[in-house]
Parts: sequence; C-alpha cells; structure tokens
Amino acid sequence: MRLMARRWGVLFRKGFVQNFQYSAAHLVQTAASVVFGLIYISLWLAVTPADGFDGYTPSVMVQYICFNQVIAWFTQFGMGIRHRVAESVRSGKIAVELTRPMDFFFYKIAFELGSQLYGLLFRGVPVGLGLALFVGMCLPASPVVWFFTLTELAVGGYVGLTLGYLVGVSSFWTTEIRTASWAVYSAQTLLGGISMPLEVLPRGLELLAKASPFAHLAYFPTRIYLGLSGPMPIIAGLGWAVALTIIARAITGRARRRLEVQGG
Amino acid sequence: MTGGWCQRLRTVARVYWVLVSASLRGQMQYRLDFIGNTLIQAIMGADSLILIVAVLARFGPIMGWTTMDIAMLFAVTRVGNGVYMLICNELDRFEAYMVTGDFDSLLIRPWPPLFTLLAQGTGVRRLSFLAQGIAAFAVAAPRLAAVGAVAGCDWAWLALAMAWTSLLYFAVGLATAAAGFWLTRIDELQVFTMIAPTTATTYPLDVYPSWMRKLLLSVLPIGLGNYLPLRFILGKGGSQADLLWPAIGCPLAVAAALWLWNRGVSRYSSTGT
Repeated sequence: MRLMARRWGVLFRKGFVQNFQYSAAHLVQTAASVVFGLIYISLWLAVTPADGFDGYTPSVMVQYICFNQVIAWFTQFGMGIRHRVAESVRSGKIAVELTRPMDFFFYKIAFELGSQLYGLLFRGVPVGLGLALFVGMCLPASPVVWFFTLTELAVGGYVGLTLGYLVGVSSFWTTEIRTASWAVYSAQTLLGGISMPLEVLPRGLELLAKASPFAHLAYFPTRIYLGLSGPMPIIAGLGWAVALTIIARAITGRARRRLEVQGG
Repeated sequence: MTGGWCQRLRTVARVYWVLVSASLRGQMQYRLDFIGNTLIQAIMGADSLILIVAVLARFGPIMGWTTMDIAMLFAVTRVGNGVYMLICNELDRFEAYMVTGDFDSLLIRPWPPLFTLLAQGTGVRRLSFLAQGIAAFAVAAPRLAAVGAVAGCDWAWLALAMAWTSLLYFAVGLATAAAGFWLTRIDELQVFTMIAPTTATTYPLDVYPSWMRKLLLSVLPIGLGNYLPLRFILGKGGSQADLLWPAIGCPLAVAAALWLWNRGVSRYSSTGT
C-alpha cells in the first residue's frame, strides 16, 4: 500500500510540474476567465432583484460567480484526461500503459489530479485575484466552512476527473470522442451551476441537476463556501465518487479485454 | 478586362470546389456517425439557449429585451458563427498548422496561402451551430412578426446582420490566426477573442459596463454585427445609423485582419522538420 501511495505521489507531482512549461498560455487563459467572470457578473447584476431570490442577493451572486470561476479550474476547465486517454488509444501507447504494474484508472487519475491542483493554484487563484480587483471577493471567516468547502471541492475534482476518464475510455469503442466530450461539457454547463444557481432552472430540471454528479463540480462547493449550505452535500458527492469509480474500473476491465494493438 | 476577371473567378471557384469536395468526401466516409454526431451536438449545444430561457422565465425581460428579442439576437449570433465555422474551420484550428509546420505545404501551392488554407476543409461537423441559429430564428421570427416588432425591410436588415456577423467572425478569426505567426500557440487566445465575445453578445450589450461594451464594438467587434442593428430593428433604442455602422466597420475589420495576416505570412519561418 505504501509503495502504491508513493507511485501515486510521483505521478501527482509529474502532473503538477508538467504544466509549468505552458505558463504564458495560462496567463492568456486567466485573462479570458476574468472576462468570462465579468460577463456573467454583469448579467446577474442586471437581472437579480434588489431583495434577491432564494437567498441570492446581488452581492451574493457576484461572489457565486467569482468563486465558481476560481474552482472551475480544478473541477472542470483544463482537464486533459479525456484527450490523453483517447490519444493513447489512437497512438497505441495504451498497450504500454496497460502493462505497467499499476491500476490503469488510478494511474491516470493520480497524474491528472496533480495537473488539476496546478490549475487551481496557478490559474484559478489568479482568476480570483483578477476578479477581486474589479468586484472584490469575500472570504469565509470560519475555518469549519473552509474545511467543508475544500472537502467538497476535493470530491468535486475527483468526480470531474472520473467523468473525463469515462469520456476518454469510450475511445476504445468509438472512432472519436468529440461528441461524448461535447455532451458531458454541455451537461456540466447546464446542470453543474457554474454560471447560475440551479434554483433558476425549472423545478424538474433543478431537482435532476441537484441529484446529478455535475452539481458537485460547481454548485455545491460554492453553496458551502458562501454559507448557504451545510456539509450534507459532501455525503452525496462521496456516493457519486464511489459509484463512478466502480463504473470506471469495470469499463476499464472490459476495455482491456477488447484492446487490439497493431504494428510492430 | 472584365472577362479576364470572370475567367479567373470561375477558376478560383472551381479549384475551391474540387478541394472542398475532396475534404467533404473524407469527412462523410462514416455518414451515420456524421449525422448522429451533428444531431447530438445541435441538441446538447443548445445549453446556452436553455440557460437564457431559464433566466428570462424567472426574471422577465432583461433591460427591456424579451425572450423572443434575445432568441433573435441568439439566432443572428449563432448563424453568423455557424457560417464562419462552416467556411473557415481551418482558421479555427490554425494552431495545429503552426505547431506541426504543416503551413509550409500551403506556401508551395500556386494559390494564396489563405485561400488554400480555407479550402483544406469545411467545418461540416460544426453544422450544429448553424442548425441552432436557424431553429432559434424559426421560433422567434413568427412571434416577433405577430407583435409587429419585425416587418417589411427589417427582414432584409436581419439577413444583413447575419452576414455582417459572419464577416466580423472572419475578421477576428483571421486576426487571431495571424497572431499564431508570432505566438505559435493560439488556442487560449481564441477563448479570449472568439468564445468570450460569442458568449457576451448572446445577451444585449446594455447589461455590460461601458468599457466592455466599447470593447465588443471595437477591438472584438462581434457586437457591431449583431447587437447594434438588432437594437434598432427591435426598437430598443439607437438610430438608423446603427444599420450602417457595420457597413463601415466590417470592411475595415476585414482589411485590418488581412493586413495582419499578410504581415504574418511574410515573417513566417517553419517550425516543422
């Protein structure tokens, strides 16, 4: 177990470090993310009633959008896992990766978690600082809120990576993953709550969204951060994390049996 | 003299068609896969429209713009973007040409590199954008006509607004691609210059602070093609000049982008092997 943890640690560090070579590109992305944040903030300031709705006043909405633009760099944006898995399948590199003395699923997840942590620290946090210059950002005073927020964020990041992995691993059966990728991206945008609280959706869609794994990528971490929700969503998030892990590993097993590599 | 130009234009059109149809045949090899993917993308990609409708249903008109007004704004933006994606798909993926050095092969063809680049492939897989725009137009147009918000010449101005928007996407897309001659990697820049303005101009620009409105009407001028004419057509303010500004701005934007592109081509040095 200790050996396994050390291997995951090495992969995690590699995933983190490899991002430093793209720092100029990340700077442009940060600027774009700040602009996106300002677009949504302007829109929500225009539509939110002065007395708010469902606990969201105009100032809470500003913070909702700001925090989402920060954490999205950990739970949604910049995730290369689906493309990296698909590229491995396309190039045949997958044969080598599957023969490594490690569980393929955790091998990929450990590497990508490092990459996403880089995303949070070096892309998400600067976005928050950029937005704070324009609209200000409030930080929770309570360490308990921070603890629950970071826990739910960790769960959300893992759920996001597993969803990305599932898209990537579909390349064992399909010629391309663009459509699956697009479908998951749309579901994340619509049901995740990154650009608006899920309460705005029609009631049926709102309930569906809250019960889906996508809500743990943006909506629930932000609700906990803003003090609008207690820690209960973490339990549902953990449930999704376990369920998606079981599904992902089962599909990986089937993919392994299906694999046929040509060339020599 | 005119005959010579006509002859040349016919040759250009024939060459373009030969190259594009070859690319189309390649993309249509898996016909069912193509149709299925386009349908799924059209449906799933409508998430932005669902978000707008949800917001409007909950809070009512935004700055006087009703659901149907915004649906028309969405339609004009999406059709403009869809036409650009269809014809200029290779501009959108220009980074790959820079990174791999594939641009070299375009320079040895007996045609201008931009023409050869655009003829490399159409964005037929991105038809979903166009489909969404047409669907939004089909929903909004009869309702706006029924309340008299759009009538007579307005339809021609709306069609023109779509054309202006496409041209502006071309100008911004070309300028962004041209930046690749200096920066090599431009995918991130495209988020800033193409995707962010697309998202922003899906809503009336009235909701944004003054500096952002100016940005979307000048440096990243997508709002010049869709918002400005629609504001006047739908009676949300402005003046008749709003219909003419795009006629001045679009050629200027395209000329500036072409100038930048030509500067880039002249300084290009291969990155490939």
